[in-house]
Amino acid sequence: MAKKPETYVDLDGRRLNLTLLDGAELQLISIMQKRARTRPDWNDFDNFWFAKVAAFYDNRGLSRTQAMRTVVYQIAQDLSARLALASGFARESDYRDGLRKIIRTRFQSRREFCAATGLSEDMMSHVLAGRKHLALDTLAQALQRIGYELRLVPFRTTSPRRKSRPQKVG
Amino acid sequence: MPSPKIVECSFLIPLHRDFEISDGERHARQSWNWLNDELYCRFEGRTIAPGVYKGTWKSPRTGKALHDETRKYIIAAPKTKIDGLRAVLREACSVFEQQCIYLNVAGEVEFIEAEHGQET
Repeated sequence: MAKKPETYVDLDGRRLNLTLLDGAELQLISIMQKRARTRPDWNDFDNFWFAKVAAFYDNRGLSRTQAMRTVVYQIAQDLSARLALASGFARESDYRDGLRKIIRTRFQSRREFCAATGLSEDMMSHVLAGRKHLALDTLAQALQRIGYELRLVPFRTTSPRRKSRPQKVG
Repeated sequence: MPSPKIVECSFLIPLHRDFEISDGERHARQSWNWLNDELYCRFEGRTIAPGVYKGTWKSPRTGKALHDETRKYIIAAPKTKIDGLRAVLREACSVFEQQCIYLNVAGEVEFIEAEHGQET
């Protein structure tokens, strides 16, 4: 009998612990993975997992916010993202997406971000539009001014060009 | 006490970032995850209509006809939650880098724009 996997590694390389899940949760993950392996239409799959996960945790009395923190929900999102990448509907993020998120969540505007980082608005406009890149040292200095740093992380094996299968559970 | 009136809302999320205010690229996967999270925690359910919706609209910035491909989301929401949906879509304009997002509330169309200052 095959040993049950203890973790699920998501697209960000996070290892989600499966050992604390009960049988019904593992079964739900297995059902979603089986569906994802058939390479369904992305919209169909998103409707499928959303309904399954919502019904499952609503029946258990979890709030939606609590359910979103569960491993099951995170795996469902991950499976959806893998399908979106594989079917060309989404792409992996790059450093510009990270900058956009910081601007959106930490600053009132791009102007405020530029003032805080010392980057020119004109340069940021070109960078975010994909026309120019920031030099590595410029980016590092700018981020340091607002409490961020650059990190190098191992490359994952999954990308739109290198299709990978969701890990099998159960 | 009568139950709150529920209305059908639908909205269109383009598959690409806006060509005029952004780079026309596909969205990062995290953007779609963000939308899933917002809808999951705010609404009982949602449906994504099958297929890709292709359309044309006239840019208020340049007056040019622009083509886009979108995903159509359908939500049955109590009237009390419609302002919450508008708030999600205002933020979605920033997350998905759109000039505006098409929203249909019980047959009445609105174009939701990002809050001033939130454009990225």
